[in-house]
Amino acid sequence: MTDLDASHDSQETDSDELFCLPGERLCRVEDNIILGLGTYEQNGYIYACKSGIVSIDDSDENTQIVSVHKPGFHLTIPVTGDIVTARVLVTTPKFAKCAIFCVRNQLLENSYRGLLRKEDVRETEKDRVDIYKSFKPGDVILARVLNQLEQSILLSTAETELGVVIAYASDVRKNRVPMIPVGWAEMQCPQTTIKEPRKVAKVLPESTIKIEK
Amino acid sequence: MLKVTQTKNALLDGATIAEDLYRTPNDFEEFFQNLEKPDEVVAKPRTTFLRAGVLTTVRGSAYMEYGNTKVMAIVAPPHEVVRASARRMNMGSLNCYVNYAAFATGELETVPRREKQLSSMLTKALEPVVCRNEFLNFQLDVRVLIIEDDGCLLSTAINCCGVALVECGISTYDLITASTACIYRDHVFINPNAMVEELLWKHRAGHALPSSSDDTKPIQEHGLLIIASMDTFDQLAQCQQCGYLSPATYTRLLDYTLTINKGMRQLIRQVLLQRVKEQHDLDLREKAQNALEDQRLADIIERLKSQGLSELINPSNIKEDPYTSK
Amino acid sequence: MAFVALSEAEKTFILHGVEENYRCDGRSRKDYRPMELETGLVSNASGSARLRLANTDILVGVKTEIDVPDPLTPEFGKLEFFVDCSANATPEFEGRGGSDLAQELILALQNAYESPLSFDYRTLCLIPGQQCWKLYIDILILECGGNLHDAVSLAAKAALYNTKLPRVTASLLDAGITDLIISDNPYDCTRLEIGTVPILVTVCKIGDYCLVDPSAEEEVCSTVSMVVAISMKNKEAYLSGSHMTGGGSMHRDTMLNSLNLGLSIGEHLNTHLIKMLKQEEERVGPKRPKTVGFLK
Repeated sequence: MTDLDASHDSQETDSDELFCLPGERLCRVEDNIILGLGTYEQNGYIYACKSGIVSIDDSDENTQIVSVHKPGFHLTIPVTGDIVTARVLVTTPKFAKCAIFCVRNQLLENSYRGLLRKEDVRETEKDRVDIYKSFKPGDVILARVLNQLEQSILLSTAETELGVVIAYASDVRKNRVPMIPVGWAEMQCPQTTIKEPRKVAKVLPESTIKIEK
Repeated sequence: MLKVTQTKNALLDGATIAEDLYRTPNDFEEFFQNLEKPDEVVAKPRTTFLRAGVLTTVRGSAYMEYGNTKVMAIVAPPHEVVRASARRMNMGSLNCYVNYAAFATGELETVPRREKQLSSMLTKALEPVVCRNEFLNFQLDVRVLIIEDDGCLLSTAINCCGVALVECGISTYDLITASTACIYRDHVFINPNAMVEELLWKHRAGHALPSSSDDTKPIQEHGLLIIASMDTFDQLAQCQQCGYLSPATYTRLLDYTLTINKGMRQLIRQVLLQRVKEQHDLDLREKAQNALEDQRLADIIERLKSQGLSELINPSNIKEDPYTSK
Repeated sequence: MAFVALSEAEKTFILHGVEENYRCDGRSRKDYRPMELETGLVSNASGSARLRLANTDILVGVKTEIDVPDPLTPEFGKLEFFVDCSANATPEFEGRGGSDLAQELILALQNAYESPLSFDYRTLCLIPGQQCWKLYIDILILECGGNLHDAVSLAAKAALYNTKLPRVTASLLDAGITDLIISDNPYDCTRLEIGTVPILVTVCKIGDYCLVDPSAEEEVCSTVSMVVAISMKNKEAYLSGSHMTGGGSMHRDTMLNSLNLGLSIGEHLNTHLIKMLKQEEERVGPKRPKTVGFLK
């Protein structure tokens, strides 16, 4: 879906776009047509379920994606499998509560409640995870959406690329500097050289971290 | 045994309310005689003003004037459910809240009851149109503010909410349109105004009632019908009827409302299309500005790349605030 | 309604049964489940009825009070409905869980009884413009087994049939104020005419077919249902209120079909109900036989 957005951008320069409204019939369902965003299927036809611009893009050689892109505000709800950016709010021995403020590359207007359980922090040695040694309130983390619970969204950081990306050392100074990762489980403050344990996301190549040391 | 509490009679007490147009059955009779009655049935919507995106603070908002009835609808993006319930059945839940503005109606006593009633009816009408499978375990709140009430309140609210939902980008199976028709003393009122609706509620056709002796006299039907429809699949999202109608009259009123709904649909389509085009133009303009900014950033990245990676991961580049460095 | 967890396979089974016109409990699409009806079992109420429709159990009590009529309708008495979804019916109703459902039932009943043609409010009149009866119809849902609308309306009608209003004589005092004398004799009472009192019929759409009296399981399978209030007047069925519920939509023709189905079913149901009520009264007479525990 993400590459769909990208291809759509290039097309948007055309002046004669096809506008549609919910309930409008777009085309017939065929084997080489995939339903994209903002569409649904009913009785063998594809209909729009959003107002916007119809776009037909090639997904590969002989299949096409029909989607409706709504200009202006785009409603984003985290769904299973999405990578989200969240801020840790509360940590307890069993879970960390977070506020999701960004889904994929879409900044949200209002944050959603996220829940990161102890067993979803790491891929391996799950029973030896300590939430206090992985996150601190205020950290910005990357996480994957596992499931939507009744009251909050269940998150997971059990991947090398997921975890803390921005963190501050827990000291009392006013102008705090974000810490720099110094390993998969540690971050260091460049000013005070305090080292703190974190579940660090591997955003930069490991080789560069070694140069850093 | 029963105890009787002597209550004073409001009529003899001399308590009067100036706003009431009629207070006794005789007043009412006179009022009905003077009331403007349509000669023929014209199944057309009233003069309508409709605009999507009237508020900047909320993403989905719409304002609608249907004759004198003025309604504003607000839709916020779905959020986590507040109260867990097992009844959800793999669907997001939809909650509607209807509120009267303090000056919307003369009669304040029944407002809380009417608000509750309208909210539940509005929820029922909107449930079929929203793709509720798209926000599992979330709830969508639709708020309606009634600014002025001159009849057809529920149908106007449904129309307005339909537009606000589309404006917010909530997936809907179709556009929803609604209208009201009623019959009272053999007169069909299309889009009844507040006075006619009040006649139906308050007086409840009291004088149309035959005395119990002559059962042979034909029954005077009276009733109100609100139909919400989705025209792409010829579906009815809600049909709310009250009063006393024979099936034949019901069908007749139903067809009138469906005709009005078709007219209403044209209007809503027009407004929404215009809105989409408007937003598309805004998007293009914004995109042009962003392109300039992107160009500038691309240049910087290009420069960094040419200077090597060591420049990129230099601690001084990670710092947010350049003034904190010693 | 009450939530029953059903798997997809179970739902398909029910759906196929409906298509074959042979439902899980052996009924056809137009059949009701067996009904048990008793009247006059609450001694503190003026009228009462208990209805058991398979697993749905409803107890209705009618209480009376003297009130002042609306100035616009001086000859009319008043009716007020109250539905209590007790937590006994399903654990879901605990706390405020049942309030939405109760609200819906109250609205449906109010709507159906709204028209003076469906309920003759003049029978509740004592002195026009001054005094009238106000009936409180309190409905208690003891067990929830689907099809609450129908069960509640049938029980309410039965309770109204059973309602005995004490005979009232008035004497005129000074300044237009009247004094009411209420008869002490419990057998000296007036009854209400229930010929036109509406009953609700829920027509439930499962797959492409419409059926009546859905069980709790069938309610889960249905996308939309139509609640029709039927009132009999001059041997003809009239609609005294209808609405759709369940979160789905219907085609115009389907809607009209289900409306007609509801009307014909309602007509039958109404005649049977009245017949049964009369039979029961004849059998039991004015005195109730001694029974221990009304739930049996």
